[in-house]
Amino acid sequence: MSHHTLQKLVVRMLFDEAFVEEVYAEPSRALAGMELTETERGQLLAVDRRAWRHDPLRRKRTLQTLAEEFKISTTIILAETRSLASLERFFAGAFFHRSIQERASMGRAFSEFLLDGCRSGAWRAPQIQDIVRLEAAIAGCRRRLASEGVYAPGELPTTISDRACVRLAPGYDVGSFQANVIPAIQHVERFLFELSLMPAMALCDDAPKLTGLPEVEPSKKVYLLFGPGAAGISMTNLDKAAYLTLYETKRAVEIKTLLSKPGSMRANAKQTEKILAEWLEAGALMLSA
Amino acid sequence: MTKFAERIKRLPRLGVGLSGEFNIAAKGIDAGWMKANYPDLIHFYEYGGDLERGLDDTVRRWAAAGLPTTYHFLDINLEEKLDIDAHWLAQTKALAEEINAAWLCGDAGRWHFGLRERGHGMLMPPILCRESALETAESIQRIEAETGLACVPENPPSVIYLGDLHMLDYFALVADRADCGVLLDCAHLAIFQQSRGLSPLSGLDAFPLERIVEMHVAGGGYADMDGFAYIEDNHSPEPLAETWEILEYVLPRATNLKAIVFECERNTPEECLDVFARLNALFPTDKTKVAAAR
Repeated sequence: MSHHTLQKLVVRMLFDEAFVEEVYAEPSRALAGMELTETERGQLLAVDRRAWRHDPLRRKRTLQTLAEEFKISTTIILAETRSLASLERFFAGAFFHRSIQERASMGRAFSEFLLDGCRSGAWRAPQIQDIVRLEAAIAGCRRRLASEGVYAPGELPTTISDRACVRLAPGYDVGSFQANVIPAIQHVERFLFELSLMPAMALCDDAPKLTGLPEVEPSKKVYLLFGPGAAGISMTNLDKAAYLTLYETKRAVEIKTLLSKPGSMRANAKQTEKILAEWLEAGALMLSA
Repeated sequence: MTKFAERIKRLPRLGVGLSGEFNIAAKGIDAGWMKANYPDLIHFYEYGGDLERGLDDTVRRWAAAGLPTTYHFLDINLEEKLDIDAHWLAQTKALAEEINAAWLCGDAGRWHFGLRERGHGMLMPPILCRESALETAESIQRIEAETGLACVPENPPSVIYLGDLHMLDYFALVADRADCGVLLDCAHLAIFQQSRGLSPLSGLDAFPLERIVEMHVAGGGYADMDGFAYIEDNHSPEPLAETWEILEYVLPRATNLKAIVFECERNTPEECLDVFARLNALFPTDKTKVAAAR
């Protein structure tokens, strides 16, 4: 077994007390498939099991970081479940474990955990699913921006061949959501602001409550472009034609292809050209090899 | 590449320094204020940095005044060579060069699990085995080759250490394979020895002490979790007796030692003056004063 595998096991044990109990109670079952040598298994079990609990705030600190990115979603979930454990169980679940095993993003794993909770009915507020998707889109933009760097559009060529490819620049994304998603977010932000004035007021019976979220109107949609702004990732409203055009550019696509299927995008070729020109100039789109 | 024995001669003797990290001056000791008020107590500033936060005004001002620095990374897994990418190397080199760092240093093991991303930060010691030591050595060689700076690995603190090697044997193997210097954190070594039920000086007689370029001293505290006793690396102003014992054993034998850092930046300056004075007496900037001080 490599030290990398052992380190992944250590991370899991530092976060998941139930797993630690399993490892000590039934090591053969808990460690099955991990290809530990007898020596390594002995080293692991020789650790005093109380040592794994030496940092009781570890999960809460990590949850704090995750909740910074999924502030609205986690607030609605906690208001609904009234249980911190409903979120802490992320660390004992498959999404977290997989992110460790695959050396993947924990933030992304957390968004999958939240979406899974929507699908399974663990949280039932009708607003929650679109809010999780919106916060996940922002988190994704932030990560792509960090890994690919800021795109500086510079001077565009005077003519661009329709064989050229375009794609959304790093840090940009588009999404469609139920129409009241932004008012719902603003409603939660106002609640959190009020609570932040004196966090201890949450202990009171007459503390502010998160009620009256704007209702979901499934038939009405809002289309948003996410992109780097002065203070992180900002959002811009799009019309449907622009959304559908930009949606196609999540992956590099030939301009010719975009112009040839205006019917499906409810924009004619001229409108599509205009949309592409506008967002190329703004730096949301980039020419791609 | 030249041998460590040659390269070490080119590194400056920095004396006693203070540690710090991004915007620490707002919460603890301001290195600039400390230098202005106690110029004989601190002689360099060890800046703990990562790519996400970069440099702060304190270290920029310090470097602009022509004062010496070292760059202590907080965001690379030496034990995991795939973590060392071109972006990290280039950016870290740029940050270190901007403050004219004499060398790079930092805890070997892991600063994060998985990706270098928010929420993933967690200092973990290496698995103390040969395989890990060889990978750490490979990482150090790459960092030194690509940054042009010496990279000095530090023994990290922990409550749990896995692996069949003693911490000192692990670092001796790393130093030998990478032909590099090492940073001996006396407080972290005291923590390790306690965790294995060993005496503070255990293993030092067989360690290549000439590899030690830098040493750290910091306060610690005895802690307990449901009856399980361990030492917490809490950076209080009072180093444990075991930490002093290690320092005082190693100091006269570490023939290539260039710097000692007192990691106390989260305290008030007044709480730390006595330790700085004691360290300066033990390790004066001017080497010729060593004999007189002892």
